[in-house]
Amino acid sequence: MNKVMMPRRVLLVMSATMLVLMSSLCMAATEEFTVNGLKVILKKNPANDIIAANLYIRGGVLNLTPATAGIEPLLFDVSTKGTAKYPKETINAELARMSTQIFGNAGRDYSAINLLCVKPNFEKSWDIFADVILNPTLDPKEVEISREQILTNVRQRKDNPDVNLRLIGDALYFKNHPYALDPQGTEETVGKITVEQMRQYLKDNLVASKLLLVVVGNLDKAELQKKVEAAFGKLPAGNYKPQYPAMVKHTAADVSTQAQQLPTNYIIGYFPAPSLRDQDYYAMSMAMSILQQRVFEEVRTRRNLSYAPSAYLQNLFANCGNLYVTAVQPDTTIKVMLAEVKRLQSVPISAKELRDKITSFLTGYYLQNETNASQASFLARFELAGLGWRESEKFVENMKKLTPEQVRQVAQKYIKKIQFAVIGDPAKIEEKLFTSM
Amino acid sequence: MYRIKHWLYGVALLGCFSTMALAQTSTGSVSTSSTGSKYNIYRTELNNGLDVIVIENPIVPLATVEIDVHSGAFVESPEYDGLSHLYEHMFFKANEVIPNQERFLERTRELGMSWNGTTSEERVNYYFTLPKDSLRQGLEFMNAAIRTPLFLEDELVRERPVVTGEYDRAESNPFYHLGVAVNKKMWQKYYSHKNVIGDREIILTADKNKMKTIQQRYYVPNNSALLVAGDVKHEEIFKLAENVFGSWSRGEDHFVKHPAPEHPPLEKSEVVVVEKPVSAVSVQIAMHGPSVSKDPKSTYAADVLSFILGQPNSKFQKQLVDSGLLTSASLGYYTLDKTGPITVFGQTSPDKYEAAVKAVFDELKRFTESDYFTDDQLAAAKNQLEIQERFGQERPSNFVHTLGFWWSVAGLDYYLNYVDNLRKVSREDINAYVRTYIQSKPYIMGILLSPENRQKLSIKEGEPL
Repeated sequence: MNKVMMPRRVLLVMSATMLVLMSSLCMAATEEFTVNGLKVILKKNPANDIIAANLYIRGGVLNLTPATAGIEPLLFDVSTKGTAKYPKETINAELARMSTQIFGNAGRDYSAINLLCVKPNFEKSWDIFADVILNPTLDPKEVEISREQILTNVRQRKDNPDVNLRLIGDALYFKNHPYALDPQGTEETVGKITVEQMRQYLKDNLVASKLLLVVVGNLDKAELQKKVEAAFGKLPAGNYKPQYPAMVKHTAADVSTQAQQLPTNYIIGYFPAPSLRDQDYYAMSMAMSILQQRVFEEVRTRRNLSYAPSAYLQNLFANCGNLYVTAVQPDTTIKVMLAEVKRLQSVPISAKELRDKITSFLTGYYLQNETNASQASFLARFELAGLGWRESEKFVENMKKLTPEQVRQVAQKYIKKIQFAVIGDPAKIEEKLFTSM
Repeated sequence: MYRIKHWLYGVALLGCFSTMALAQTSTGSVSTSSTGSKYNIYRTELNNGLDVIVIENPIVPLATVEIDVHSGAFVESPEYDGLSHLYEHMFFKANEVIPNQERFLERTRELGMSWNGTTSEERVNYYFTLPKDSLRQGLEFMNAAIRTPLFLEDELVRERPVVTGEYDRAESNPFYHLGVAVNKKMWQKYYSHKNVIGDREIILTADKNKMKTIQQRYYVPNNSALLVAGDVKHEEIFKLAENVFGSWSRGEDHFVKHPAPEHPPLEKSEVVVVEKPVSAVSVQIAMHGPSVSKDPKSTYAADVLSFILGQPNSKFQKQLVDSGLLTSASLGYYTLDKTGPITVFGQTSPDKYEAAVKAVFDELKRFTESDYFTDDQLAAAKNQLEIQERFGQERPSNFVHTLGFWWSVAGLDYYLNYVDNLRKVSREDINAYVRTYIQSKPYIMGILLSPENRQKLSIKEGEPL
């Protein structure tokens, strides 16, 4: 058997081909229009009969106060339990009959109410979707049932060390920052949110200038525009101006350890990172992808210190990156991971490494765009960042412009003053090591 | 149904990595036993017995290449407990073309691959997604990995702590312990045949001989399927498959002489209690359900009933959740060939525990009442299942895993005819399923709660009162 290697020339040609295809994927039939101040992005996809429609509320945690953290998950859940036009029994029966999904997501930068259905059911599904958003009954009995369910979920986050680790890490890293408010809320806040607060939230936030609607599916503009005008055409325009929280700053590295008897130690480190809005974003995405590959190879493949080492970038407006690992020898493992960070900061990656990574990014890009719902999220991400959805088509092009030196520079610029959170055995954690970068 | 597995069991273990390239001399010709285009799925069988299944979906210019092997926990006697999973990790290491794992990973980057593998009760799969232009290289890479692993002693020894690291993570999750406690009672002397993650000691002492044994028994073309999904044409894939995999020699059918054991029925109901520092009280009631090859009709009825009960308007949800007794309640059936489990899962608070458990058992008794669900709810459940399948098919890189699961567990035809068979499910079918597998049948009830709550509630293990 002969070993077959892919010639370098072929790889380059392939990347160019993929780039052209990628542009066509993004641009094929995407258009935008405005309905009384509400921006709508429609991407027509005739390849299937699935329709994804996401209504985004801009602002995220900036829409919350310490008393209302967690209001969105509760409001979104109870909104599907009855509206002016559709009593609970009717909504449940109709959604079950059509297998239509309507659900909300609350995030740090924005929230969304999502609709997923098949086209033959779009007419009725849209009508329910719009009524859930605009006219929820918010029956106090239903509020209490939803509240208890959400409280159970909120409490259970601490039962799972992986989830709890992120709660502890978030609290440490985002202290004194707007993101310190958890959009999922706490036991205390969810327990006290009132119907009046929920109605006020709707009044404050359902203004056209604060909303964005993204729809992907086999729909025509005229068809959708008519529906949006009928449903949301009378919303107050408002005068919302987007706000983007500043990057988190810490003056020194830190580590916070929660003692817990577990078979292994859970570790996460946070550091600042450029957001999609920043010109360093693409170089940082590449740096983190290279770092992920290297910690995986060094920690897992060569040294067999952990099943799950990783390095990744979050996608926040006040962005951050993370180092994550579970290990029975935390000091040894973190030493190896930090050494990889230092190598990335001091030695430029090779041209081949960069080229291979760009090909991988293309695969990842397409994997993110396989479904209508994920395409809607991808377009929205750029639009909500204030860049415009068309910027999404430049994603790989921007990656291809990167140089090894740019990647080294951003790694050096951002990966420092790491804030570590640990759940496990404090005796195994050398504070000096964890605060060395 | 497949998704039920992920909801509760979560036993499909993500393993390692993938691939490398290798030129393959071609011999023989494609033997097209059957082709069809339902859901744009096409299949053929090579002369060596390898099933080749193609899903055409050009939504993005990618191709996903997957090998499914009819193996997993169900073939594992106690001395092999967990080794299907360890083998899956070793797949991504040295083979006759790739000298070591480092080079293996480098090749995945050169090809722009996203890759992984999973092990579950009755299926092991390996897959990678890559630009469609690199499909041939991807198939050759897969061919080398599936046919010529070296199981280097050094790589095997170094991989053991990685797998036990996965074990450590599982053991850190309270729900893992609930699952183990219930499963040990459910499967008794054949527990290893359901224990995907395996036995720590067996993993730590596994050697090359055991890996070779697994390879010889199960990693043969006539016990495997090649699936390719994405922006591809089936005619081209059939030719490529023959060209690359055609010389893979057919092996003995190990199951003829050594069939995996059938699980004896539960003899009695039992309660097991797991104490962990958790906030809610979780209750898992498990029963032996149908085996898909022996009673396929009941598997369709099981899925329809599960969806009826999942509807917010169902009596089940109204009595248990809307009443405030539980914060969530569900019934699921996990389709398997060697006895699929039926599971009722619910969560409640300590003060409502007793009333909640009583209410759950009261509901089980009502399943066969003539007005327990309406004709509309029955129809809606069938619609839901059908549309869920359409949602699932939207994403080719994921749908290929679903299809591979069905190929291994129930055969491809089961999936291709699934929606048609769901449509035929009647109220009588559902009642027959309930009477055969649920009502008055022995069960294992697992309870996960904090030590403080256990003391407060005075819950005892053993036979239920």
